[in-house]
Amino acid sequence: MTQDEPTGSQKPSRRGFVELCIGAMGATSAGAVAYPVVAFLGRPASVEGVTTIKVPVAELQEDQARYVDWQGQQIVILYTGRTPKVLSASCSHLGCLVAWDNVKHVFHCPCHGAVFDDQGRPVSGPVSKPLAAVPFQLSEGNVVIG
Amino acid sequence: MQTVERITDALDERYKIRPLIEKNVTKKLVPRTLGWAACFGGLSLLVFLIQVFSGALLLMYYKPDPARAWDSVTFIKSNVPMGWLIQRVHAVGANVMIVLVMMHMARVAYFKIYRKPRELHWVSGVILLILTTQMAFTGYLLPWTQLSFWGAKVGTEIPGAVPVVGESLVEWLRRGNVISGETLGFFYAMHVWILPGMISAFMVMHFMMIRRTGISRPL
Ligand code: FES
Repeated sequence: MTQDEPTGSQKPSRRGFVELCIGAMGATSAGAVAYPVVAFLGRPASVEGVTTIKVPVAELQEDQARYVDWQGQQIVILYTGRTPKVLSASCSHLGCLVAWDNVKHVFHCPCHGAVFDDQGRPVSGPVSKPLAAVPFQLSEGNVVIG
Repeated sequence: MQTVERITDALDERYKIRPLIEKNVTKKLVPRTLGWAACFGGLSLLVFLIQVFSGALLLMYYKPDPARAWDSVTFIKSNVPMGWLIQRVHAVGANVMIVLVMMHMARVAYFKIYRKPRELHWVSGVILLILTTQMAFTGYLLPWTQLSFWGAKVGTEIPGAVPVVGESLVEWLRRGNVISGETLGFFYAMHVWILPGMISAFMVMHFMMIRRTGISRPL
């Protein structure tokens, strides 16, 4: 600090006191600004909150895939006539979103060209694992997931 | 305090920062006759910086799309931690900034500070005032509420009074005949990049001029 302030002296000097006050005020203001800013950068309260999804089977169209958000992941409900099938829509290679091709009857991954059949089994491409199956129940004509 | 001192020493040894700090902060002499009214310019800068930083935070969640703009602002206000505060600070800050700029200009006008050699201070200041009001105007549309929509409609009608080119001016501002998603995109770009960039450029000029001429001393 300054020379006129004896270092290590027991008696608090007026200058030291003023400096302390200014420091405290500065720290309080900085904290008051930093707190909301840091909080803002945190995770927002999620809007989903829904953990169960119900889709009436009657709404599903044959050979059409229906993509839904479920617990933060994309899943696909596929109806090929008999019973619906629910699969994770993210490719078992590196997780890109697979697209249903209802002409060729396969899932196609846009990233590195993996192909899966309508059961989610790998057909070709850089994959060996199938698309993860999502457990669901059929109750009163609804596909209930979760 | 010891550490601060040590860091300052190290920096001073390399970059000679002590004389810089002394000249500009600790030993800077301010004319005695300067009153509190001389602070409005600096305060305007402070509020501008607050707007830049709070705006940058809002940008993380805002979506400039007519279908989602309102929802995204509601999301900021109700789901993002402290989002309501940052949004409010940004909205109130806009008004505060205009008030401060006006007070600053009122002082400059009253004490006739704009006279030679400071004419260009005034000119750049007026340009900054116009840019500031344009910031407020473009920002007002972004939440995409009824108020913003009609505010933008009425506001963009004003240049229609210009003879000959008025009509096309209105269309140019609206990116079409009516306020639409295109208008929103245009106002958004203006609000977050183009106008702030222009304001920063004129502010730098404004401050450099003041460094050259010094602050005016009242008689
Ligand atoms: S992520 Fe699907 S093929 Fe690589």
